[in-house]
Amino acid sequence: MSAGIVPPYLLSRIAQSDAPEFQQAAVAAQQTLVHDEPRRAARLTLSLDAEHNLVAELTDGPDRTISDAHNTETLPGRKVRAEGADPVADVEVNEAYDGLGATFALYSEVYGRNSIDGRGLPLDGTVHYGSRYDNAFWNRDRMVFGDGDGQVFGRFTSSFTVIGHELTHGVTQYTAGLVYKDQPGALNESISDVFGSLVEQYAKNQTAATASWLIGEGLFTKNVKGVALRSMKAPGTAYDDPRLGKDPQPADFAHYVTTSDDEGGVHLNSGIPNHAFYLVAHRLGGHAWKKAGQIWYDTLLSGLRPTTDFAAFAAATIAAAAKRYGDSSAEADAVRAGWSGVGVPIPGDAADGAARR
Amino acid sequence: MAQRDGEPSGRPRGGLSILVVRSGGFAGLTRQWRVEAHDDADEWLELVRACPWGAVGQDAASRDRFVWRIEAHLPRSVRTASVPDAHLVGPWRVLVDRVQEVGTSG
Repeated sequence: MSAGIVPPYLLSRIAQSDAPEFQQAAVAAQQTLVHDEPRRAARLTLSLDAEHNLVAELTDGPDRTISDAHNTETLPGRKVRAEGADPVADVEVNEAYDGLGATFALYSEVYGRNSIDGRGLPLDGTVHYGSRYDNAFWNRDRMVFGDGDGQVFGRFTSSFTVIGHELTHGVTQYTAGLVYKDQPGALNESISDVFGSLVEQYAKNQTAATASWLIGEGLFTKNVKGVALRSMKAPGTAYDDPRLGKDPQPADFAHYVTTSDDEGGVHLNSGIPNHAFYLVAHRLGGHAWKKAGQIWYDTLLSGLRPTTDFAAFAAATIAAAAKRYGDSSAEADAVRAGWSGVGVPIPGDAADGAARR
Repeated sequence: MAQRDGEPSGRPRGGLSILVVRSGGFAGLTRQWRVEAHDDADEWLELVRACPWGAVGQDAASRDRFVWRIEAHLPRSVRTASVPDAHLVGPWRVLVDRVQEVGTSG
């Protein structure tokens, strides 16, 4: 973010203008800045200060492109909506565009992160991937959404939690680089659920008490007995359906699932750190993105090893809380209580964790 | 998740069975399909033999994609492979599509 940038050209225009013409000048200046600025994407805010000086503020902005695979499995598909373009008739295109924007907003406005890589990486998405494709995924470069089969799943763009989840895989890729298997894989998944949920909470201005803490709410069709794919508040309770079975997520470390499927159950065991985050956010109260989310974000940037396991991640979150809020702060205590609440061992002396940083 | 390494009992001589287990994906829902082949075992054997069982591609970059565990229980052996969604193409795709089409799901 850079503030107070007023190009000489604009200053000269303003200098020649009388007060009633400020408004027109501001519009002209905005167009000029937008077209001439070499940044990949930015938002411009113009205002007058107390002395009637024009203040121009450039802030980071998303650079979104949505493409349509037209029900093939060929990526990226045809471009259908670029940054700043008006909504189109296709609801999936607009939902993807808006979800990418909401995710960008959380990272930029709350954590000061300019896109996935911190350097304004364009956000690319493809909708209508495959035929009745029951999934959404991140392929290292873009987010990809299927339409769902219409019987179990509807479209995957319909929840901000899904879009925030996928983009966060990109953030993790550019930061901690957690390997996608076993405990580090489950942490990778959980971090995507945590920030996916926070994207929704931030967009809806919900508190820890009023948020649903559901991942993928509304993705199931009405044929399915379930409210969502996962619950961070109560892992294992999101659905219980005669055909699909019961939500298999564990809520504590004692029930960690050992399996060779799903890269070692990364979408199952994520329930354990998911619930730890919920417990921390619930104990701290208020907007979860402000403290609990900040601690998790700090942890992501704290130099985690790609093979970090649950216990090491727990120690890192305690160290991050201690560094930002103090070792004996309510925040650090809440983080310790969160991990204890799901049975993940934590260091006896959190100062050791802080010292390692 | 139980591993099916042994020979299923009670299967007619010369028959075969194929199990496809799809795990992972954003939802983390595991689904599976199975066929038991008897009279048409030769046709299935041809589909099975066309697959590159010993040379499955890896996909370490993608997140939330499906992983397909494919097991072919043949008269004298069992072949298994774990195929990333990005590599479920060619003969793998033909085999899986066919099992999903005519098999029983669970």
